[in-house]
Amino acid sequence: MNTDAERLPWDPAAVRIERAVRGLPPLPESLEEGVVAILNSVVVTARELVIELADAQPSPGFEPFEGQGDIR
Amino acid sequence: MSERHFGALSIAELRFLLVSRDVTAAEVAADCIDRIEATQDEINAFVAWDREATMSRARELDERRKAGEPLGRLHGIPIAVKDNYVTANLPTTAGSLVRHPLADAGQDAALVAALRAEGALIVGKTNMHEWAYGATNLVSASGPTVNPWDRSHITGGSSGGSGAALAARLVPAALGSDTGGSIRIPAAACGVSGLKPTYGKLSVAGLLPLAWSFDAAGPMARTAADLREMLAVLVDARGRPPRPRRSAFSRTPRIGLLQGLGLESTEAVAEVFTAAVGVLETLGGDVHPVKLDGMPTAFGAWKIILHAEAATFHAPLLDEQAAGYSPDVRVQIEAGRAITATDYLQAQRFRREFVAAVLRAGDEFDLLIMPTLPVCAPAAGLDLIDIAGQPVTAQDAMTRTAFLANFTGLPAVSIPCGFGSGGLPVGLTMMGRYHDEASLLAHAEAYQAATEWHLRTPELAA
Repeated sequence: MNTDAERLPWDPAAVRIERAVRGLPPLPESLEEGVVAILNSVVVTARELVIELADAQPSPGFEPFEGQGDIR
Repeated sequence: MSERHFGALSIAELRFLLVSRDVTAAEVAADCIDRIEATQDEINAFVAWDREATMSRARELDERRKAGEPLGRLHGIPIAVKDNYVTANLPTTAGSLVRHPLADAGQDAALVAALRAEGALIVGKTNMHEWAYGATNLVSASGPTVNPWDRSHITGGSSGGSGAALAARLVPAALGSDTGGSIRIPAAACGVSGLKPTYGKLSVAGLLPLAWSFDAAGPMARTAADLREMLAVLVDARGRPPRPRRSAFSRTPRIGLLQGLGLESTEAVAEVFTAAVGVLETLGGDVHPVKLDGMPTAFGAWKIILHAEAATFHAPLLDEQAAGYSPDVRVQIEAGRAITATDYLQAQRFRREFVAAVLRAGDEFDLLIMPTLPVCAPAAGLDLIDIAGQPVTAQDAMTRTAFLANFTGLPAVSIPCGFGSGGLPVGLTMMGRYHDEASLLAHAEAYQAATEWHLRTPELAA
Protein backbone atom coordinates (compact mmCIF):
# COMPACT_ATOMS: atom_id res chain seq x y z
CA MET A 1 0.00 0.00 0.00
CA ASN A 2 1.07 3.57 -0.50
CA THR A 3 -0.46 6.99 -0.23
CA ASP A 4 -1.45 7.19 -3.91
CA ALA A 5 -4.89 8.54 -4.53
CA GLU A 6 -5.46 5.48 -6.72
CA ARG A 7 -4.96 2.78 -4.14
CA LEU A 8 -7.50 -0.02 -3.85
CA PRO A 9 -9.90 -0.65 -1.00
CA TRP A 10 -9.31 -3.39 1.57
CA ASP A 11 -11.24 -6.65 1.75
CA PRO A 12 -10.99 -9.62 4.15
CA ALA A 13 -8.56 -11.46 1.84
CA ALA A 14 -6.23 -8.44 1.78
CA VAL A 15 -6.33 -8.24 5.57
CA ARG A 16 -5.40 -11.94 5.84
CA ILE A 17 -2.49 -11.51 3.40
CA GLU A 18 -1.23 -8.38 5.13
CA ARG A 19 -1.21 -10.12 8.51
CA ALA A 20 0.50 -13.21 7.10
CA VAL A 21 3.23 -11.09 5.50
CA ARG A 22 3.83 -9.36 8.83
CA GLY A 23 3.79 -12.62 10.76
CA LEU A 24 0.67 -11.77 12.73
CA PRO A 25 -1.83 -14.50 13.61
CA PRO A 26 -5.07 -14.62 11.61
CA LEU A 27 -7.92 -12.55 12.96
CA PRO A 28 -11.09 -14.19 14.22
CA GLU A 29 -13.47 -14.06 11.27
CA SER A 30 -15.99 -12.10 13.30
CA LEU A 31 -13.56 -9.16 13.50
CA GLU A 32 -12.55 -9.01 9.85
CA GLU A 33 -15.49 -6.96 8.65
CA GLY A 34 -14.90 -4.27 11.29
CA VAL A 35 -11.19 -4.07 10.53
CA VAL A 36 -11.88 -3.79 6.80
CA ALA A 37 -14.39 -0.97 7.40
CA ILE A 38 -11.87 1.05 9.44
CA LEU A 39 -9.04 0.48 6.96
CA ASN A 40 -11.27 1.55 4.08
CA SER A 41 -12.09 4.77 5.92
CA VAL A 42 -8.31 5.25 6.23
CA VAL A 43 -7.99 4.79 2.44
CA VAL A 44 -10.66 7.44 1.85
CA THR A 45 -8.89 9.87 4.19
CA ALA A 46 -5.51 9.09 2.62
CA ARG A 47 -6.91 10.06 -0.77
CA GLU A 48 -8.24 13.31 0.68
CA LEU A 49 -4.88 14.00 2.31
CA VAL A 50 -3.10 13.70 -1.03
CA ILE A 51 -5.39 16.40 -2.41
CA GLU A 52 -5.32 18.62 0.68
CA LEU A 53 -1.53 18.51 0.92
CA ALA A 54 -0.85 19.08 -2.76
CA ASP A 55 0.22 22.67 -2.13
CA ALA A 56 1.80 22.14 1.27
CA GLN A 57 5.50 22.07 2.04
CA PRO A 58 6.96 18.69 0.97
CA SER A 59 7.85 17.93 4.58
CA PRO A 60 7.27 19.77 7.85
CA GLY A 61 11.00 20.33 8.16
CA PHE A 62 11.53 21.50 4.58
CA GLU A 63 12.98 24.96 4.09
CA PRO A 64 14.13 26.29 0.70
CA PHE A 65 17.70 27.65 0.40
CA GLU A 66 18.03 31.39 0.71
CA GLY A 67 17.18 33.11 -2.55
CA GLN A 68 15.78 29.93 -3.98
CA GLY A 69 12.21 30.79 -3.09
CA ASP A 70 9.59 28.16 -3.31
CA ILE A 71 11.12 25.30 -5.29
CA ARG A 72 8.08 23.09 -5.13
CA MET B 1 -27.30 8.26 54.93
CA SER B 2 -26.78 11.80 56.23
CA GLU B 3 -29.63 14.29 55.87
CA ARG B 4 -27.08 16.73 54.53
CA HIS B 5 -26.10 15.94 50.96
CA PHE B 6 -22.45 16.96 50.81
CA GLY B 7 -21.82 15.70 47.28
CA ALA B 8 -24.32 18.26 46.01
CA LEU B 9 -22.22 21.18 47.30
CA SER B 10 -19.48 23.00 45.45
CA ILE B 11 -15.86 22.76 46.51
CA ALA B 12 -16.02 26.26 48.02
CA GLU B 13 -19.22 25.48 49.93
CA LEU B 14 -17.78 22.23 51.30
CA ARG B 15 -14.50 23.88 52.20
CA PHE B 16 -16.37 26.55 54.17
CA LEU B 17 -18.21 23.87 56.17
CA LEU B 18 -15.01 21.91 56.80
CA VAL B 19 -12.84 24.86 57.73
CA SER B 20 -15.53 26.41 59.94
CA ARG B 21 -15.79 23.01 61.71
CA ASP B 22 -19.47 22.77 60.91
CA VAL B 23 -18.76 19.29 59.57
CA THR B 24 -15.92 16.78 59.73
CA ALA B 25 -14.17 15.12 56.82
CA ALA B 26 -15.36 11.79 58.25
CA GLU B 27 -19.01 12.90 58.03
CA VAL B 28 -18.50 14.04 54.44
CA ALA B 29 -16.74 10.80 53.51
CA ALA B 30 -19.40 8.59 55.10
CA ASP B 31 -22.22 10.42 53.31
CA CYS B 32 -20.34 10.26 50.02
CA ILE B 33 -19.67 6.51 50.22
CA ASP B 34 -23.27 5.85 51.38
CA ARG B 35 -24.60 7.61 48.29
CA ILE B 36 -22.16 5.89 45.93
CA GLU B 37 -23.38 2.54 47.24
CA ALA B 38 -27.04 3.58 47.16
CA THR B 39 -26.91 4.62 43.49
CA GLN B 40 -24.43 2.07 42.15
CA ASP B 41 -27.00 -0.50 40.99
CA GLU B 42 -28.90 2.21 39.19
CA ILE B 43 -26.18 4.18 37.38
CA ASN B 44 -23.01 2.06 37.70
CA ALA B 45 -20.81 5.15 37.93
CA PHE B 46 -18.01 3.52 39.93
CA VAL B 47 -15.85 0.44 39.46
CA ALA B 48 -14.07 0.51 42.82
CA TRP B 49 -14.17 2.22 46.20
CA ASP B 50 -12.88 1.39 49.67
CA ARG B 51 -15.05 2.55 52.54
CA GLU B 52 -12.56 1.67 55.27
CA ALA B 53 -9.56 3.32 53.61
CA THR B 54 -11.56 6.45 52.80
CA MET B 55 -12.91 6.72 56.35
CA SER B 56 -9.44 6.15 57.80
CA ARG B 57 -7.99 8.90 55.62
CA ALA B 58 -10.88 11.24 56.53
CA ARG B 59 -10.30 10.69 60.25
CA GLU B 60 -6.61 11.39 59.72
CA LEU B 61 -7.49 14.68 58.02
CA ASP B 62 -9.80 15.58 60.91
CA GLU B 63 -6.98 14.90 63.39
CA ARG B 64 -4.70 17.20 61.43
CA ARG B 65 -7.28 19.94 61.54
CA LYS B 66 -7.78 19.47 65.29
CA ALA B 67 -4.00 19.67 65.79
CA GLY B 68 -3.96 23.01 63.99
CA GLU B 69 -1.81 21.77 61.12
CA PRO B 70 -1.94 23.69 57.84
CA LEU B 71 -4.77 22.44 55.65
CA GLY B 72 -4.52 21.66 51.96
CA ARG B 73 -6.58 23.50 49.37
CA LEU B 74 -8.83 20.45 48.97
CA HIS B 75 -8.86 19.39 52.62
CA GLY B 76 -11.62 16.81 53.07
CA ILE B 77 -13.12 17.31 49.58
CA PRO B 78 -14.31 13.99 48.09
CA ILE B 79 -13.05 13.48 44.54
CA ALA B 80 -13.63 10.61 42.11
CA VAL B 81 -10.94 9.44 39.70
CA LYS B 82 -11.43 7.90 36.26
CA ASP B 83 -10.23 4.32 36.22
CA ASN B 84 -7.36 4.93 33.81
CA TYR B 85 -5.36 6.87 36.43
CA VAL B 86 -3.27 4.42 38.40
CA THR B 87 -3.86 4.54 42.14
CA ALA B 88 -1.86 3.08 44.98
CA ASN B 89 -4.76 1.84 47.07
CA LEU B 90 -7.42 0.97 44.51
CA PRO B 91 -7.26 -1.34 41.48
CA THR B 92 -6.96 0.18 37.99
CA THR B 93 -8.75 -1.58 35.14
CA ALA B 94 -9.24 1.10 32.46
CA GLY B 95 -12.64 -0.53 31.98
CA SER B 96 -10.99 -3.66 30.63
CA LEU B 97 -10.21 -7.27 31.52
CA VAL B 98 -6.73 -6.70 30.07
CA ARG B 99 -4.12 -5.75 32.66
CA HIS B 100 -1.24 -3.36 32.03
CA PRO B 101 1.79 -3.79 34.34
CA LEU B 102 1.64 -0.09 35.26
CA ALA B 103 -1.77 -0.67 36.86
CA ASP B 104 -0.12 -2.78 39.54
CA ALA B 105 2.77 -0.41 40.20
CA GLY B 106 1.39 0.47 43.65
CA GLN B 107 1.81 4.17 42.95
CA ASP B 108 -0.47 7.12 42.35
CA ALA B 109 -0.61 8.91 39.01
CA ALA B 110 0.94 12.38 39.28
CA LEU B 111 -2.44 14.15 39.34
CA VAL B 112 -3.88 11.78 41.94
CA ALA B 113 -0.81 12.42 44.10
CA ALA B 114 -1.28 16.18 43.62
CA LEU B 115 -4.91 15.93 44.80
CA ARG B 116 -3.98 13.82 47.83
CA ALA B 117 -1.18 16.24 48.74
CA GLU B 118 -3.80 18.98 49.02
CA GLY B 119 -5.96 16.90 51.36
CA ALA B 120 -8.47 15.53 48.82
CA LEU B 121 -10.31 12.33 49.67
CA ILE B 122 -10.01 9.99 46.69
CA VAL B 123 -13.30 8.17 47.20
CA GLY B 124 -13.28 5.79 44.25
CA LYS B 125 -12.54 4.97 40.64
CA THR B 126 -15.14 5.80 38.01
CA ASN B 127 -16.38 3.60 35.20
CA MET B 128 -15.17 4.33 31.68
CA HIS B 129 -15.29 3.10 28.09
CA GLU B 130 -12.78 0.26 27.72
CA TRP B 131 -9.28 1.77 27.45
CA ALA B 132 -10.95 5.15 26.73
CA TYR B 133 -11.30 3.81 23.19
CA GLY B 134 -14.89 4.89 22.61
CA ALA B 135 -17.25 7.71 23.47
CA THR B 136 -20.43 5.94 24.57
CA ASN B 137 -19.41 4.18 27.84
CA LEU B 138 -21.49 1.21 26.70
CA VAL B 139 -18.36 -0.95 26.49
CA SER B 140 -16.74 -1.59 29.85
CA ALA B 141 -15.68 -4.72 31.73
CA SER B 142 -17.77 -3.35 34.59
CA GLY B 143 -20.86 -2.85 32.45
CA PRO B 144 -22.27 0.33 30.90
CA THR B 145 -22.87 3.53 32.86
CA VAL B 146 -26.39 4.94 32.93
CA ASN B 147 -27.35 8.57 32.41
CA PRO B 148 -28.90 9.95 35.63
CA TRP B 149 -31.16 12.21 33.55
CA ASP B 150 -32.74 9.26 31.74
CA ARG B 151 -31.78 5.68 32.58
CA SER B 152 -32.38 4.50 29.01
CA HIS B 153 -29.75 6.88 27.59
CA ILE B 154 -25.98 6.77 27.47
CA THR B 155 -23.69 8.99 29.54
CA GLY B 156 -21.27 9.56 26.70
CA GLY B 157 -17.64 8.75 27.34
CA SER B 158 -15.07 7.77 27.83
CA SER B 159 -15.20 9.54 31.23
CA GLY B 160 -18.86 8.55 31.56
CA GLY B 161 -18.61 7.34 35.15
CA SER B 162 -17.20 10.70 36.25
CA GLY B 163 -20.01 12.47 34.36
CA ALA B 164 -22.69 10.28 35.94
CA ALA B 165 -21.22 10.64 39.44
CA LEU B 166 -21.25 14.43 39.13
CA ALA B 167 -24.78 14.56 37.70
CA ALA B 168 -26.01 12.32 40.54
CA ARG B 169 -24.36 14.66 43.07
CA LEU B 170 -22.13 11.90 44.46
CA VAL B 171 -19.00 14.08 44.45
CA PRO B 172 -18.29 17.75 43.70
CA ALA B 173 -15.38 17.01 41.35
CA ALA B 174 -13.68 14.23 39.42
CA LEU B 175 -10.78 13.50 37.11
CA GLY B 176 -11.36 12.62 33.45
CA SER B 177 -9.16 12.21 30.41
CA ASP B 178 -9.77 13.44 26.88
CA THR B 179 -8.38 12.19 23.55
CA GLY B 180 -11.26 13.13 21.27
CA GLY B 181 -13.76 14.70 23.65
CA SER B 182 -13.82 12.17 26.49
CA ILE B 183 -14.14 14.82 29.21
CA ARG B 184 -16.46 17.20 27.35
CA ILE B 185 -18.75 14.57 25.80
CA PRO B 186 -19.96 13.05 29.09
CA ALA B 187 -19.97 16.52 30.66
CA ALA B 188 -22.44 17.65 27.98
CA ALA B 189 -24.47 14.44 28.01
CA CYS B 190 -24.77 14.46 31.82
CA GLY B 191 -25.32 18.21 32.31
CA VAL B 192 -22.06 18.98 34.11
CA SER B 193 -18.87 20.94 33.33
CA GLY B 194 -15.57 19.60 32.02
CA LEU B 195 -12.24 21.09 30.99
CA LYS B 196 -9.78 19.68 28.48
CA PRO B 197 -6.73 21.82 29.14
CA THR B 198 -4.13 22.79 26.54
CA TYR B 199 -2.25 19.72 25.26
CA GLY B 200 0.66 19.10 27.64
CA LYS B 201 -0.65 21.44 30.33
CA LEU B 202 -1.23 18.73 32.93
CA SER B 203 0.94 15.73 33.72
CA VAL B 204 -0.14 12.42 32.21
CA ALA B 205 2.33 10.42 34.29
CA GLY B 206 0.46 7.36 35.51
CA LEU B 207 -2.45 7.92 33.16
CA LEU B 208 -2.87 4.86 30.94
CA PRO B 209 -2.67 6.27 27.41
CA LEU B 210 -4.93 6.02 24.39
CA ALA B 211 -3.10 8.19 21.82
CA TRP B 212 -0.23 10.30 23.06
CA SER B 213 -0.54 13.03 20.42
CA PHE B 214 -3.97 13.91 21.79
CA ASP B 215 -4.30 12.59 25.36
CA ALA B 216 -5.08 15.28 27.91
CA ALA B 217 -5.83 14.92 31.61
CA GLY B 218 -8.39 17.27 33.08
CA PRO B 219 -10.98 18.05 35.73
CA MET B 220 -14.73 17.61 35.70
CA ALA B 221 -17.13 19.31 38.10
CA ARG B 222 -20.54 20.91 38.10
CA THR B 223 -19.33 24.48 37.81
CA ALA B 224 -16.56 26.34 36.04
CA ALA B 225 -15.54 27.78 39.43
CA ASP B 226 -14.85 24.25 40.68
CA LEU B 227 -12.91 23.44 37.50
CA ARG B 228 -10.73 26.44 38.31
CA GLU B 229 -10.19 25.18 41.87
CA MET B 230 -9.19 21.76 40.56
CA LEU B 231 -6.95 23.12 37.82
CA ALA B 232 -5.03 25.28 40.30
CA VAL B 233 -4.07 22.12 42.21
CA LEU B 234 -3.49 19.87 39.19
CA VAL B 235 -1.26 22.30 37.35
CA ASP B 236 1.12 22.32 40.31
CA ALA B 237 2.02 18.70 39.52
CA ARG B 238 3.93 20.14 36.55
CA GLY B 239 5.64 22.67 38.78
CA ARG B 240 4.29 25.63 36.82
CA PRO B 241 2.46 28.37 38.66
CA PRO B 242 -1.08 29.00 37.38
CA ARG B 243 -1.63 32.28 35.60
CA PRO B 244 -3.60 34.88 37.51
CA ARG B 245 -7.32 34.85 36.97
CA ARG B 246 -8.56 37.36 34.46
CA SER B 247 -11.95 38.95 34.60
CA ALA B 248 -14.25 37.95 31.76
CA PHE B 249 -16.15 40.52 29.77
CA SER B 250 -14.03 43.37 31.14
CA ARG B 251 -13.91 44.48 27.53
CA THR B 252 -16.05 43.40 24.64
CA PRO B 253 -14.92 39.85 23.96
CA ARG B 254 -14.90 38.75 20.35
CA ILE B 255 -16.50 35.36 20.02
CA GLY B 256 -16.12 33.17 16.96
CA LEU B 257 -19.13 30.99 16.20
CA LEU B 258 -17.64 27.92 14.51
CA GLN B 259 -19.23 26.86 11.24
CA GLY B 260 -18.37 24.16 8.73
CA LEU B 261 -18.05 21.56 11.49
CA GLY B 262 -18.95 18.76 9.10
CA LEU B 263 -22.05 17.72 11.02
CA GLU B 264 -25.13 19.80 11.71
CA SER B 265 -26.85 19.71 15.08
CA THR B 266 -30.34 18.37 15.61
CA GLU B 267 -33.07 21.01 15.70
CA ALA B 268 -33.45 20.66 19.46
CA VAL B 269 -29.72 21.18 20.11
CA ALA B 270 -29.53 24.04 17.61
CA GLU B 271 -32.40 25.83 19.36
CA VAL B 272 -30.77 25.54 22.78
CA PHE B 273 -27.38 26.59 21.40
CA THR B 274 -28.87 29.66 19.70
CA ALA B 275 -30.35 30.72 23.01
CA ALA B 276 -26.92 30.25 24.65
CA VAL B 277 -25.33 32.49 22.02
CA GLY B 278 -27.99 35.05 22.90
CA VAL B 279 -26.90 34.94 26.55
CA LEU B 280 -23.28 35.53 25.53
CA GLU B 281 -24.38 38.54 23.47
CA THR B 282 -26.40 39.86 26.40
CA LEU B 283 -23.24 39.61 28.47
CA GLY B 284 -21.47 41.82 25.95
CA GLY B 285 -20.00 39.22 23.61
CA ASP B 286 -19.43 40.32 20.01
CA VAL B 287 -20.29 37.16 18.08
CA HIS B 288 -19.17 36.55 14.49
CA PRO B 289 -19.23 33.39 12.35
CA VAL B 290 -15.92 31.62 11.70
CA LYS B 291 -15.87 29.16 8.83
CA LEU B 292 -13.60 26.13 9.16
CA ASP B 293 -12.50 24.30 6.03
CA GLY B 294 -11.44 20.68 5.97
CA MET B 295 -13.17 19.39 9.11
CA PRO B 296 -14.20 16.03 7.58
CA THR B 297 -10.62 15.38 6.44
CA ALA B 298 -9.32 16.49 9.83
CA PHE B 299 -11.66 14.00 11.51
CA GLY B 300 -10.30 11.24 9.28
CA ALA B 301 -6.72 12.28 10.02
CA TRP B 302 -7.49 12.30 13.76
CA LYS B 303 -8.72 8.72 13.46
CA ILE B 304 -5.59 7.60 11.60
CA ILE B 305 -3.34 9.04 14.30
CA LEU B 306 -5.59 7.70 17.06
CA HIS B 307 -5.68 4.14 15.73
CA ALA B 308 -1.97 4.02 14.89
CA GLU B 309 -0.86 5.31 18.29
CA ALA B 310 -3.34 3.14 20.22
CA ALA B 311 -2.18 0.07 18.28
CA THR B 312 1.43 0.88 19.11
CA PHE B 313 0.66 1.02 22.83
CA HIS B 314 -1.60 -2.02 22.82
CA ALA B 315 0.37 -4.36 20.52
CA PRO B 316 2.31 -6.09 23.33
CA LEU B 317 -0.85 -6.47 25.42
CA LEU B 318 -2.77 -7.77 22.42
CA ASP B 319 -0.14 -10.43 21.80
CA GLU B 320 -0.55 -11.73 25.36
CA GLN B 321 -4.15 -10.99 26.30
CA ALA B 322 -6.16 -10.75 23.06
CA ALA B 323 -9.13 -12.59 24.56
CA GLY B 324 -9.45 -9.91 27.24
CA TYR B 325 -10.38 -7.19 24.77
CA SER B 326 -13.97 -6.57 23.75
CA PRO B 327 -14.56 -7.03 20.00
CA ASP B 328 -15.40 -3.31 19.74
CA VAL B 329 -11.98 -2.21 21.01
CA ARG B 330 -9.96 -5.06 19.50
CA VAL B 331 -11.21 -4.27 15.99
CA GLN B 332 -9.88 -0.72 16.27
CA ILE B 333 -6.50 -1.86 17.59
CA GLU B 334 -6.12 -4.54 14.92
CA ALA B 335 -6.96 -2.00 12.21
CA GLY B 336 -4.44 0.41 13.71
CA ARG B 337 -1.71 -2.22 13.32
CA ALA B 338 -2.21 -2.13 9.54
CA ILE B 339 -1.95 1.66 9.19
CA THR B 340 1.23 2.51 7.32
CA ALA B 341 3.90 4.91 8.48
CA THR B 342 3.22 7.10 5.47
CA ASP B 343 -0.50 7.33 6.28
CA TYR B 344 0.33 8.27 9.85
CA LEU B 345 2.86 10.89 8.76
CA GLN B 346 0.56 12.31 6.11
CA ALA B 347 -2.11 12.70 8.81
CA GLN B 348 0.36 14.48 11.12
CA ARG B 349 1.50 16.66 8.22
CA PHE B 350 -2.09 17.63 7.46
CA ARG B 351 -2.65 18.29 11.14
CA ARG B 352 0.12 20.87 11.11
CA GLU B 353 -1.43 22.70 8.14
CA PHE B 354 -4.94 22.46 9.55
CA VAL B 355 -3.96 23.78 12.98
CA ALA B 356 -2.22 26.76 11.36
CA ALA B 357 -5.41 27.51 9.41
CA VAL B 358 -7.60 27.25 12.53
CA LEU B 359 -5.27 29.57 14.43
CA ARG B 360 -5.35 32.08 11.57
CA ALA B 361 -9.15 31.94 11.42
CA GLY B 362 -9.47 32.26 15.19
CA ASP B 363 -6.70 34.78 15.73
CA GLU B 364 -8.95 37.80 16.22
CA PHE B 365 -11.25 36.01 18.65
CA ASP B 366 -11.08 35.55 22.42
CA LEU B 367 -13.28 32.47 22.26
CA LEU B 368 -14.45 29.97 19.69
CA ILE B 369 -17.81 28.35 20.45
CA MET B 370 -19.91 25.43 19.22
CA PRO B 371 -22.38 22.92 20.62
CA THR B 372 -20.36 20.24 22.45
CA LEU B 373 -22.46 17.51 20.85
CA PRO B 374 -24.73 17.72 17.80
CA VAL B 375 -27.30 15.57 19.65
CA CYS B 376 -28.55 14.98 23.16
CA ALA B 377 -27.34 11.73 24.75
CA PRO B 378 -28.62 8.96 22.45
CA ALA B 379 -30.68 6.01 23.69
CA ALA B 380 -28.45 3.12 24.76
CA GLY B 381 -29.55 0.70 22.03
CA LEU B 382 -29.39 3.13 19.13
CA ASP B 383 -26.81 2.07 16.50
CA LEU B 384 -27.45 4.88 14.03
CA ILE B 385 -28.69 8.38 14.76
CA ASP B 386 -30.45 10.52 12.18
CA ILE B 387 -28.98 14.01 12.22
CA ALA B 388 -30.56 16.32 9.66
CA GLY B 389 -31.21 13.32 7.40
CA GLN B 390 -27.68 11.97 7.79
CA PRO B 391 -27.29 8.56 9.50
CA VAL B 392 -24.39 8.70 11.97
CA THR B 393 -23.13 6.11 14.46
CA ALA B 394 -23.42 7.08 18.13
CA GLN B 395 -19.61 6.95 18.35
CA ASP B 396 -19.16 9.39 15.45
CA ALA B 397 -21.95 11.66 16.68
CA MET B 398 -20.10 12.01 19.99
CA THR B 399 -16.64 12.71 18.59
CA ARG B 400 -17.14 14.32 15.19
CA THR B 401 -16.84 17.92 16.39
CA ALA B 402 -15.37 17.41 19.88
CA PHE B 403 -12.12 16.01 18.42
CA LEU B 404 -11.24 19.53 17.18
CA ALA B 405 -9.80 20.59 20.54
CA ASN B 406 -7.55 17.51 20.63
CA PHE B 407 -6.48 17.85 17.01
CA THR B 408 -5.48 21.48 17.58
CA GLY B 409 -4.36 21.07 21.21
CA LEU B 410 -6.45 24.10 22.19
CA PRO B 411 -8.08 24.22 25.63
CA ALA B 412 -11.84 23.68 25.66
CA VAL B 413 -14.52 23.71 28.32
CA SER B 414 -18.03 22.29 28.07
CA ILE B 415 -20.73 23.74 30.32
CA PRO B 416 -24.47 23.05 30.49
CA CYS B 417 -26.53 25.50 28.41
CA GLY B 418 -30.04 24.05 28.44
CA PHE B 419 -32.12 20.97 27.83
CA GLY B 420 -33.17 19.46 24.54
CA SER B 421 -35.20 16.50 23.41
CA GLY B 422 -36.52 14.29 26.20
CA GLY B 423 -35.31 16.70 28.88
CA LEU B 424 -31.68 15.74 28.27
CA PRO B 425 -28.86 18.27 28.79
CA VAL B 426 -27.08 20.21 26.05
CA GLY B 427 -23.50 21.43 26.37
CA LEU B 428 -21.85 24.63 25.15
CA THR B 429 -18.17 24.36 24.19
CA MET B 430 -15.86 27.33 24.53
CA MET B 431 -12.34 27.03 23.13
CA GLY B 432 -9.65 29.47 24.19
CA ARG B 433 -6.03 30.31 23.53
CA TYR B 434 -3.15 27.97 24.31
CA HIS B 435 -2.37 27.93 28.04
CA ASP B 436 -4.92 30.62 28.82
CA GLU B 437 -7.35 28.42 30.73
CA ALA B 438 -7.75 31.30 33.19
CA SER B 439 -9.58 33.44 30.65
CA LEU B 440 -11.49 30.48 29.27
CA LEU B 441 -12.82 29.52 32.71
CA ALA B 442 -13.55 33.15 33.56
CA HIS B 443 -15.82 33.30 30.49
CA ALA B 444 -17.48 30.04 31.51
CA GLU B 445 -17.98 31.36 35.05
CA ALA B 446 -19.53 34.56 33.67
CA TYR B 447 -21.97 32.44 31.63
CA GLN B 448 -22.87 30.35 34.68
CA ALA B 449 -23.35 33.49 36.79
CA ALA B 450 -26.01 34.55 34.28
CA THR B 451 -27.72 31.16 33.91
CA GLU B 452 -28.93 28.33 36.11
CA TRP B 453 -28.57 25.31 33.83
CA HIS B 454 -25.63 23.96 35.86
CA LEU B 455 -27.81 23.98 39.00
CA ARG B 456 -30.47 21.63 37.61
CA THR B 457 -30.47 18.24 39.29
CA PRO B 458 -31.76 14.94 37.90
CA GLU B 459 -34.52 13.26 39.88
CA LEU B 460 -32.24 10.47 41.02
CA ALA B 461 -30.22 12.75 43.25
CA ALA B 462 -32.93 15.25 44.19
